This record gives sequence, C-alpha cells and structure tokens, in this order.
Amino acid sequence: MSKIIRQKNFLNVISYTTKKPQVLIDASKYQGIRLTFQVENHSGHMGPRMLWRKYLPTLQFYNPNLKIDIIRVYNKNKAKNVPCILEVLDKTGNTVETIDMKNRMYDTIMDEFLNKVEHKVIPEEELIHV
Amino acid sequence: MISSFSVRPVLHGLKQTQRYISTSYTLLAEEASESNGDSIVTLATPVKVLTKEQLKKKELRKFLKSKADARKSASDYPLYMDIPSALRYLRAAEVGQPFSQRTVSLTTIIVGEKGVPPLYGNISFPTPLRKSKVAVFSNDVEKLEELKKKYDLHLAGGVELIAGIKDGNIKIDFDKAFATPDIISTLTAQLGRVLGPKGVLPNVKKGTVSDDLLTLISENLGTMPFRERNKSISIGIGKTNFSDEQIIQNIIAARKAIKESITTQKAKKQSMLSKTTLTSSHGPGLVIDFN
Repeated sequence: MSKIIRQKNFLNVISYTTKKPQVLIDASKYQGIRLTFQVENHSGHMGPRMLWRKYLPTLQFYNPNLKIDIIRVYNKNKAKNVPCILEVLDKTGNTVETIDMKNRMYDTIMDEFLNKVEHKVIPEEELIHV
Repeated sequence: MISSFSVRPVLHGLKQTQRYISTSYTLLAEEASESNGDSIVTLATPVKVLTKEQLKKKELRKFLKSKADARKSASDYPLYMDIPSALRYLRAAEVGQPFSQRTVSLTTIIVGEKGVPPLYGNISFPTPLRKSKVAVFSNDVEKLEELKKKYDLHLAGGVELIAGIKDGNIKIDFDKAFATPDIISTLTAQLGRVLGPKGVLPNVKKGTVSDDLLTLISENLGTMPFRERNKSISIGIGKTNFSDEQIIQNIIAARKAIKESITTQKAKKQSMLSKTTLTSSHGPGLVIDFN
C-alpha cells in the first residue's frame, strides 16, 4: 500500500469510516467530557483506552468545541483500585452524568454515553471524506 | 563438489520439498569458478558499481526532480488541505494526549544548489509557544546584575559558567545566547565545538555579540531561532489549543522570516521553498500552501 493511500485511510478513519461517534453533541448543554482510568490494562481498564483510541478522535473531529480531558493513572499494583469513569460536564463545569467503564467494551460504553447525552446523528451527505 | 542440492534444510516440518526447491542456493563467484561442469551451480550476479559520471548524472536528475517539485503548486499534492481543515484533523488526532505533546509543527523542504550555506534566522511569533530561554556570557558582573533585574534570564555568568558547561554540570537547554566582546575569545575556544553545532554560540556575524546587551536582548527576546537541517526547516508553530487565527498568524510570521533569510542568502542562485507540511506530535502530515 502506498504511503498516500495509507495516510488517506488514516484521515478517513477519523472523519468517515468510524460511524458510531459521528454525532453532534448539544453544545448548549454540555461543555465537555472527562475520562479517568488506568494506564495499564488490568482490572478491566482496557475498554476506556480503546474508546479513546477508536472513537474519541472522530467525536472531537465533529465536535471541535467539546473539551475532552483524559486522566490516566499509573498503577502497577493490581490490588489497588483506580476509578474507571466517564463524566459528562455541563456548561458550568459540574458533572451531570457519570458512566462506569470498568470491565466494559468500548462499544457498550459509547452506546451508554449516547443514550445519556443529547445528540444528533450527522447525515451521510455531511460527512467529510478525503 | 558443491551443488545447490547438497544440504537439505529442516523447515519446521512444513512441505519441505516444495520449500526447498523454491529456495535457490547461490554460490559466490569464486566458488563457481572452482567447481566442475557436472554440478548445477548458479553464478552470483555482480554488484552494479556506478561510475563517477553515472553518479553525477543520478545526482543531477534527483536535483532537477526536486526543483520541478518545488515549482509545483501545493494543491497538486494528493494530501493538500487548507489550514483550518488540516488543523481540524490534527486536533482530532491529538485528542487526550498530554498538553506538552500537542505541538503543531511546520516542515518545509528547501531546494538549493550544492555548496549554498544553510538558511537560518529568527522568527518573531505573534503568539509564542513558550518563553525562550536566554543565556548571557560576560565578565562584567555589574552589567549581568542589571540584566538579571530587567529580564528573566535562564543563565548568566562569565568564566565560571563556561567551565560549568564544559564539565557538563550545567545543561545546554537555552535557545539563545548573547555575549560581550571581552569574553567571546574564551567562549569560542572552550565551547565552540559544543555550542556551535547547536546554533547557540554567540557570534559577531550573527549579531549576538555586543557591548550594549540591554538593547540586543530587548530586540531578540521574543524571537525563535530556526536553521536549515538536512535540506529542510522544521519549526514548532503552535499548540493544538491555539485558535486557527493564532496558528495562521504564526505561519505567516514564519513565512516572512524564512523568505527574508532566502533574500539575504549569500549565493549565486537563491534556494527555493518546496513542499510544506503541517503536522503534530501524533498526527498525520498534511500539505499546505506556504507560498
């Protein structure tokens, strides 16, 4: 595969081929989201990391003003408990919704996030394709 | 006698015959000349060595191609994008990364004749990325005290500072250095080989040596130095949290400084700007129109 095709695919993954996060989040209600999870995968923290890598670039691309904060905690000790949550922040910066992401796949986390947050799916013709 | 079927390799219990036959065993030229005509041997293909003239022609072709590329319009490149859309992709690619790693940088290829001195200069950004760290070398203690009071200097000192840098006790983490003429000979003799390649050695030609350090620093404090390396210039021009307008203003400032350094270049034929890409720490490289 040529370098250019590979690069185009990379751009299209952000703007076109990843369907689930192609939504417009109601900007009048929400300021941003905050995710807290471990750097390490153990204790069911893989889902949020995959959510960050797979879905958040597209969510940010279609919602440029949505503030996305990620707090990753180093924790080598498996006995220690680190929060694994997604917080939805309103305009004043207060948490309005909290989603527990522990032991869950990125797809199910995204479904619950979209259920809890007011949004509009972007029609196919408005999507950006490179 | 050496033949290509003399040793049977063991290949993890796979279909050995097929694998074995398809693998050719090439003899070295010396070995081939020693063997008899009965055995099946494959002669080693000689390595193609280009003559001096061929090498010259190859280099010329490469140079002409890069020159033709430089004349090409930015929109001819398949990954061309206008700056706001490029920034939108870069911001998306950088989501959730630590703030220190979200730098947007600009890389431009320089096409110049052989032997042309590399481009260098200073850019004064309307929105700087960070405060530039300044080091001042002088034997005049009073002058240094005065400068320390007026400006937030990273390092300031005389012979003891030079000795510290030479021993490795003091890190070279400053972006700019200024000096007074009384210390410059010691500085060049002791640290010329250390600071020179990093581009932070005070030099009369560069205009970083003066008795009047106050005005010199006030003129140069808000600027960012750049230098051509490996036929390209790479500059950090912003962070992803900068607005589009701020980044575009910084790009315009960078273009102005680079073009100025081209016009002041001491060469028969001036260098040309070729493909310019906008990229970020974790993002893709996108071609933008820089001319």
